[in-house]
Amino acid sequence: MSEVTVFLVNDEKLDRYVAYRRIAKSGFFGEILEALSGDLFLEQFFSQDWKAVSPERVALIFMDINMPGLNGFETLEELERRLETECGPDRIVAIFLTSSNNPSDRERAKGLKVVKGYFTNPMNDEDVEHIHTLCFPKGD
Amino acid sequence: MSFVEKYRLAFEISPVPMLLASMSGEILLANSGFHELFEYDDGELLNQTVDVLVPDAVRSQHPELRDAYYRVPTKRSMGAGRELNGVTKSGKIIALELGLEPVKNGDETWALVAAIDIRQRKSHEERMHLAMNAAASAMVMVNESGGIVFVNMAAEKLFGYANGDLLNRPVELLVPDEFHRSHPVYVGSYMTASETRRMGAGRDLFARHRNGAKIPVGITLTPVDSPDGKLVMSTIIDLSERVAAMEALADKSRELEALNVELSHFAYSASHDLKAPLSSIAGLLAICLEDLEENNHDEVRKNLKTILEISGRSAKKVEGILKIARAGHEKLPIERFSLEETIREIWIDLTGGTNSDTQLVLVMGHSDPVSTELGTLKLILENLISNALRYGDPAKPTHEIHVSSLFEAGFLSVTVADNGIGIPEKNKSEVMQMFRRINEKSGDGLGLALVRKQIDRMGGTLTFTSTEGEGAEFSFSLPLSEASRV
Repeated sequence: MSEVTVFLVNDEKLDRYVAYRRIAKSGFFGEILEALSGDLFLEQFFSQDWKAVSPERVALIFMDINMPGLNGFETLEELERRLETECGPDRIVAIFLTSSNNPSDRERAKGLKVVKGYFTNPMNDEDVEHIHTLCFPKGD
Repeated sequence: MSFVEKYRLAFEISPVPMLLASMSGEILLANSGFHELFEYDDGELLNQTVDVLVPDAVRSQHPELRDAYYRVPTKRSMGAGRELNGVTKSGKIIALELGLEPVKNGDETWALVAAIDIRQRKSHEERMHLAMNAAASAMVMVNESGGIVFVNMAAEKLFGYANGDLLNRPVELLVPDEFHRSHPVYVGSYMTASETRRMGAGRDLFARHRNGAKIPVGITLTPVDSPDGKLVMSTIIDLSERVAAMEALADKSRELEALNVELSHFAYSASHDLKAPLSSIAGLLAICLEDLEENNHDEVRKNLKTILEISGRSAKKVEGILKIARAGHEKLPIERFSLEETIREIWIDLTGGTNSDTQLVLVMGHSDPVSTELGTLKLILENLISNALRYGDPAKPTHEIHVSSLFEAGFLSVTVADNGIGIPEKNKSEVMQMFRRINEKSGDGLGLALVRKQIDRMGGTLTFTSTEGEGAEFSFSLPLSEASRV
């Protein structure tokens, strides 16, 4: 069995609420944590106890792009950097969830290892299902 | 053989009209050529006075001039440099060139006169001048020493001189002051190596109007060899209109560039700022449907209220954007409104009101209401406050935005200050440039450019100060009309 911890990173309360409801409804995932900036998210992320060996731990991150302070790209770059030395989950699935459909943003998202998808607001149920399969790529 | 007889033979075989006159002006001898030129029968002029050959206009002065000649008799051409006319028997005026030579006969000095009919030459010249006067280009003919020997009417008009004013004046009169010293040198070197060519090779040329104004011109130089020596014909084309047209074109192009920027801004705003609230509404409505099925009416009611708020704000935003797009660079209507309320509305619009982690501190030093272009002021404040919001410094415990106002000497000044990350020194000069995005937090790079343009248009100023790591402070001031004061 695996346990998926969801991180919702967005400075807009409304966007977090809509995403939260959508994710919670699916029943696919475990705890849903919210952060309203990149820094707060990083703090939250690395204060998790990732050391427990079982069950398998998965972090599903819904990341906004335009935020005050660190933006979505900078936050995930910082995450990747810190994971080189710090303890993290078994698997990380980061999804950009944003209202920007900017091609250059999509292109830049491809440069990040942890990013597995790019979705524009609002997500629908199919999107969530699709994201769920991304969390378990081998179908386990 | 009398003295006269000595000359008679020579006179008769000379093809040049010739005359011999005494000190008193009596015609002693005139050949048939001379008689013919003045339309007299052969011998008819003998014993008459030379004054009959002088036109009425100068006849009364002629004896005096003649006496002067005999006092200091020298060989010279008569009327040198002047137009000289004679009158025929029938009263016709003819253009002449006369040669005078003193001839000694004992105590007396006689004058030997050779006359050359220059009527044809004159009429050639006149025809040429007529043709040149008909030309649209200005023409100035200059002699070897830089003196003006001819100007056509177009040139007189171009340089602001009256008919004939420029004749015999130095050509430097038509040269801009800064070239007064060097121009005669150019003339000198052109005279020694002259060929038809454009003047000033590739440089912008200017001529000097009588009033000192500089006229942009194109000049072509052509060497002309004449009996009076080497001349240079300058053909001058007035480029004022062309230059003005080019400047107008450049203005137009700048204007279009600015309009393009506005259009891009409009497109960006439409795709981003307008799509985001629709996405929120769509998300909330999906949730409402689900909640309805579960009879969770309280949640539905709460979310529908939010939807109403969002759609109301968006509708207003669309209106505002359309207003700007339509107005372009023109004035928006002047409205009377509360600046403080407007700032609070913008704040709610940008932060969503309830969820903001940023504090707004308002210090209003003016008294509401104010009268100015509401649409433009909103655009300015939205951009400045949105920037202040975006560049928050997460390292600080609180993110604060101070908006303060002041009314002084007819100007409304507003300052938007934040304690965010500030602007690095190296980026300061680029902040207001179009399409310049300083970092990932930057929007489309048009906001401040648009703000500055609007403030410029309204006759205001926009300045900023910033220390990296401490925050930024943008201030603008706009003139409020006298009538708008409360």
